[in-house]
Amino acid sequence: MKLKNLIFVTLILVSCGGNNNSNQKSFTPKDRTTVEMSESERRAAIEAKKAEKGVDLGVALASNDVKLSVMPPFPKGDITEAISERIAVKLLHLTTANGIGGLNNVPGFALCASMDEVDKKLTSTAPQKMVTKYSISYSVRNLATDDVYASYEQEVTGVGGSWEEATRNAVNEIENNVHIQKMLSTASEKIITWYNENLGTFKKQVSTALGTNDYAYALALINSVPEKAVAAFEYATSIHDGVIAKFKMQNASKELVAMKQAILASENTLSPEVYAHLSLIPTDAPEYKEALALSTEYENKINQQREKDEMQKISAEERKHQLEMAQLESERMMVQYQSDAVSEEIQKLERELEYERKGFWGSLGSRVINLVDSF
Amino acid sequence: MHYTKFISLLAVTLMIASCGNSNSKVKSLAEGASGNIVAYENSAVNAIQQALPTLMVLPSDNLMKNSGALTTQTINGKSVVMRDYNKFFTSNMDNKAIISVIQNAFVQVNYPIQDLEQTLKQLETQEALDMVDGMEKDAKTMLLTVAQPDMIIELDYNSSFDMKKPVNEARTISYTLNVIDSYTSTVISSTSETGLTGENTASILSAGLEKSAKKMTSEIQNAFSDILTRGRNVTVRIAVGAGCDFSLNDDSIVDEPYSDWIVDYIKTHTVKGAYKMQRNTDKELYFVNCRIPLLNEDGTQYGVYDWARDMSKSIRKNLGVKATNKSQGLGEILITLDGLK
Repeated sequence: MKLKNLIFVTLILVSCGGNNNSNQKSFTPKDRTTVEMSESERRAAIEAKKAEKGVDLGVALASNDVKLSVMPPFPKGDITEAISERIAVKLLHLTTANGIGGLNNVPGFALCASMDEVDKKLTSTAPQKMVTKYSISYSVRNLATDDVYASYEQEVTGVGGSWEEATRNAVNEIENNVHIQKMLSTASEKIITWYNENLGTFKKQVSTALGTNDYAYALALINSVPEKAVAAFEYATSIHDGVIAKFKMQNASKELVAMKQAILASENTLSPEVYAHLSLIPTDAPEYKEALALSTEYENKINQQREKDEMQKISAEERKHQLEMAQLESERMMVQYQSDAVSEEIQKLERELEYERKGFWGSLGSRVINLVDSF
Repeated sequence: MHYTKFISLLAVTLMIASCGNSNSKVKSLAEGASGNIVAYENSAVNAIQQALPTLMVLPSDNLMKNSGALTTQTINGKSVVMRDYNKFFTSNMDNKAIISVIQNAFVQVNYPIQDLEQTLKQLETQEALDMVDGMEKDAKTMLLTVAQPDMIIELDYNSSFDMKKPVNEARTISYTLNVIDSYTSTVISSTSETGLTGENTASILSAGLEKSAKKMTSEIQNAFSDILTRGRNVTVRIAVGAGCDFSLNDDSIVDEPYSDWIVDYIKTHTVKGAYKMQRNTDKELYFVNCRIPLLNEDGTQYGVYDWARDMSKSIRKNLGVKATNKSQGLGEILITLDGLK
């Protein structure tokens, strides 16, 4: 009886256990990853694969000596000041990566980008993610005339834990591609062509500016000419020094006032800004004599202070260094003048044409300068 | 009386002392563990164990709202729901305690489940490390860097306190637990209790779960058995990629529309031809309840990625179309068609 019970229980246990899946398989994996190949074949295959991914040199650009400034979208909504600056850096990389001559301090031509929000979405995941899609419109423009030489539109999507992070990540998606290369190539060729075909118009623009004593704007126009636009470049070079002289003479009194303010602000320390203003006052200007006297008095005061502090007086070497610094500072000031002049012209244009994106280019000059400084 | 108490105490002390390992040296946690990897490797393959579905307890939207962790915002004229999981965990101690009780019920049946709070922390740490390592991440990678359980245990509960009742009956709770397959949105198991009373939320739920956990784990086991018998239940989506110059209803090189060819492929490559078409448009074909095999002949896994890989190969070979496999997880097949090769 006991034996019968034991067999019965054993049978029940046997029938209960194990997987019900009748199609059981054991684990005997086959190698799926080893590829029979000699060492030379492997090397050849690697080279062929690398070549597939290589840059298509056919679309590489000639620089044409065209210089572009960059103009990111204005901060608005999720596009913060920091994100706008990030876009500026991205645009700068796009220009330099594509053989564009470099950053143009004077905003004659610019690679501009405007960003429009296309869509926003939220996921139902943990953590929740924000997804935002933007349409970026790139254009290469002549800011003085508002001509568009080439444009391209791209959609970028960003994901993040907040809308701002999503926007920042969308900006990170801005990358060089063949369409941007083509746009920049087309634009740089069209810029050269414009100068070659419109030399008369260009000369008229410059002479109009000179006629109205708008020397800063005239300088902005002539500094924007690329070297490859031979005739226009020759013309620009021939009048460059004369325009600079007139510009400096026009601004001499303004520079003298600015120099006095710089001396006051310097608090008895050597300031390159003081020398920069001095260098922008021509020697034949009536203000020059006063400016020179002020600078001598300024140096004397510093030396007296240094004597009190038992410090070494201003040496020839130190003065040379200060003058070098002043040269850079005066160039920056000149750029500021020209940028402001272009900005003013654009605002005039806006008013005249009731430009649909009114305000977009407002205070352009100072924005470009800020960007130049940040680089 | 005192004498009796003393004797009892002594007896209990002696009993406790006599319990445990006779070996004077207590084994560590690791030394106490045992296993035989050779025997395990030689045993038959269990496809569920091989690609073990992850389970995670997630709060329902109602519970999130009650915890102040769910708000609505209007974006582009559309009302959207904002969920703050960190706030959910920090707003109410009970939330964490209740999730622990449910997780413990699964530990009891040797099926530890993923913890949402720890997963969120791990994702944050991973993001920080990726930043330090300068890892490249596209929008989709960032979008998928989230907790992705294969099965969701959705929790909803209400708790109230009646000061007029005795302390051990003052707390009343009602709860609902739904186990949902995250790929097919199928409810695998559902359980709810109302009017459970006790002293605190966690202990009431713990007592309530003693009964319902058995039912729930048994139903999940049934779902696993169903997978082993009829194959994994997946969704299949074939979509036309951006920039592709044909639609699915256009004729392919084999003189029939792409959609016809795709439907024929699905008929013959699903277990017993199990599938159901849900969407058929020029740009997308969407199938649900597709059953796919679990294992290769040699016992290695055969999942959604492998199935999509085979289909992509066949599309390339037979239709001359570039196909990209974008399948995710255990149950989601996505192939995009990106134009003629």
